[in-house]
Amino acid sequence: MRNFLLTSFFVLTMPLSASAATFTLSATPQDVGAGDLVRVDVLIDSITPVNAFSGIVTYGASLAPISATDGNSIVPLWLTPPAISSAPRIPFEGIVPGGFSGMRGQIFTILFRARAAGKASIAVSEGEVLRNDGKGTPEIVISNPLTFTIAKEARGGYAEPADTTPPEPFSVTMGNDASETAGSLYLVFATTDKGSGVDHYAVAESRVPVFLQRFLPLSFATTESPYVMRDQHRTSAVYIEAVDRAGNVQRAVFPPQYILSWPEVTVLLLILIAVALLFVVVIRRRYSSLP
Amino acid sequence: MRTKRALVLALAALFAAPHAFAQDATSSSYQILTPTLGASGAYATSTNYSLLGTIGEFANSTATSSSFGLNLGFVAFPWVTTPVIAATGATNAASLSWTAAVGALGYSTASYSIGQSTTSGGPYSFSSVGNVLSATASSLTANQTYYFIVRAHDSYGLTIATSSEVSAVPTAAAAPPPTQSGSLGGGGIGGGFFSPVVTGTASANFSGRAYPRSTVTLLKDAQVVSSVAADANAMFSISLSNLSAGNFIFSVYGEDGSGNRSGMLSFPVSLTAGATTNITGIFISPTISTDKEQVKRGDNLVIFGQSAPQSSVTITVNSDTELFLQSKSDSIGAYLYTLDTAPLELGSHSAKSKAAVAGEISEFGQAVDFAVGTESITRQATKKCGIGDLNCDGKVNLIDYSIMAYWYHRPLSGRGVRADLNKDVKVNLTDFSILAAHWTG
Repeated sequence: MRNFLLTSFFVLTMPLSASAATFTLSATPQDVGAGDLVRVDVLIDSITPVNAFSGIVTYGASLAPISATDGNSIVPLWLTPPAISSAPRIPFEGIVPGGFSGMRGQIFTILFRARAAGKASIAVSEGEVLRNDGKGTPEIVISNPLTFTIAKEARGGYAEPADTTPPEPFSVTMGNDASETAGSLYLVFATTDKGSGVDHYAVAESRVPVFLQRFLPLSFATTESPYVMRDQHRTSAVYIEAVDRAGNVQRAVFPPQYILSWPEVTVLLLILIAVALLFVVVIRRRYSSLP
Repeated sequence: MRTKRALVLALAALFAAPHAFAQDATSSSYQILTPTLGASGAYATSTNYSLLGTIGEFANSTATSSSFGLNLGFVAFPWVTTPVIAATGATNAASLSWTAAVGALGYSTASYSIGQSTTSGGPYSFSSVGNVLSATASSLTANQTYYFIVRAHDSYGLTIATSSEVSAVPTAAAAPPPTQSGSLGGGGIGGGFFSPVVTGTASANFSGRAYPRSTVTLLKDAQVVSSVAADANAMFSISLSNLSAGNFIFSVYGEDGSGNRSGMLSFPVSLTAGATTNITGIFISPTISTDKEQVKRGDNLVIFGQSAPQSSVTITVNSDTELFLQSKSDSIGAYLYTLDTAPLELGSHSAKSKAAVAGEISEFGQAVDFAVGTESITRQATKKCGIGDLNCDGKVNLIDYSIMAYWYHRPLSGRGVRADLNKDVKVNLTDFSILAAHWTG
């Protein structure tokens, strides 16, 4: 009986499978000297499928941020993309449609320059991770801070690899019923880049056929999704370019839906009617002038 | 004496319930009639409580919980989903990753082991890798096909799930690169999925089972990249080429002949330049629907859907006492269960299903909601605006994300009220999480 109770007690008090998402920071290289570049990856481990992440990366004064990029990230859609500012904090907030479960999922990357010898520390604070359960249930979050020592002498540091691959191909979709854009037609788009990360998007609208664009080149302007179409009559092709930090470009085209706009069609019809009337008048005069 | 009587009463109360839901089990070679359920094998779980084995020897009030569910019955047994494994050939190695084997009703995965063989079907030599979802098989011979499976183990080391087999061909070490100045940095503690030099293209093959003649949609990083039709046996395969090397989240879902969609199955994959990654054993969860949105208590409710042919389909009905129902799909994958709603309490309920065939178990699919009330209401053929479908176009995609992003942290009005998916009068990360869980691309 005692054995049974002991066994039962053991079974009942056995730790259940603890579910938690863990933010981990990983530095490359590990051996850093003053003046060196160091790359820090913000990673997530989660056995439970999760689909939304947010938090703030904070870092000490011994590190100077160079860039924050989502290159090769598992997060395709950002509410708050990671970006450096004058404050020593990098907030981030993004979602993964369909969810993520796995180890060392890369959320984003920060490139630092080690300012001076001493201790460097980086941490994720206010971390929030939500489950992919259709309810947005918060997952328990563990954040592992990263500390390393910066040596007096430079050690070579991190060398950013050359990125010659453009962002991933993407499609452009039109929205036509949004009260958010006062009824205007707009385009939505998003893509990822597996190398240096998407830097920005650019847009150009043109009715010039492709074979004539060498004489009348497209004029691109920086934009973001959603983009309210300038040509609401949809007679122009809309060219969207995703440009990564290395300058590689991936282009997507939203083709024109109509050859002519309704005002143009109206004017054309009026001209045709006028020409027809003129023709009739001329013919009548010619016949009436006959003896 | 009083304690003994109380124990007897408690046991009688506990073990009276299962008989109400026990079913006869038959096969071509045996038949079990009126199964008698013992204490062992009965698993009681809640979010913060787990009881394994008998509870008869405990005194009153030693087992308490704020929320408690007791799942007893002949079909209430623990299970675990089958992991989906991906393999990519690397230099004298193979990179492996897999989805988590998710346990229920007492099972939880404590560790995994990798089986490796040069012969398809084994025998495999196994090595334990711990409770992780990726591993690398190293010291492999280049250009030799290797076959891998992954096994999930419980805390006692027992195998509770085995994936299907996947193959990979390790590549030979490349010739030394030309001398270059500078340093690529030490490997150190960094890494993750990052590919240090982004050159060349990769390809990936996906295969598994859905429903006969159904449409299977594949998403890459949340965008639809392919839709294919499954064959008459519900098997499908999709090949993608000219992909960049790097991290991807691939997701698949199926759509049956009635337009009902399965839950989405996602897996992170790290593609390597010049290598092909094979992802096998994908088992798309069944679709599910009911003939009524609301059923008069005591009337029958028909629960139906589609899965792989000849699958054992387990349907769970979320109720005060969770019901586990068993059905079997026919040759076209259709399954049906007629539920007597008399035992269900009035109010909202939901049902979801999973399937098992050929030793593989799918994950649970999306849940269908229904109500038990005082009159029956037939379910409409198609419900146009599903959860997250803010523009009511039958999809949850970038347009809906864009609409929700507009209302992010803004005072709500008009369609912003619909963007507040959890009805907490604000659009925040939780609403985006719900949107992401219902994503269709």
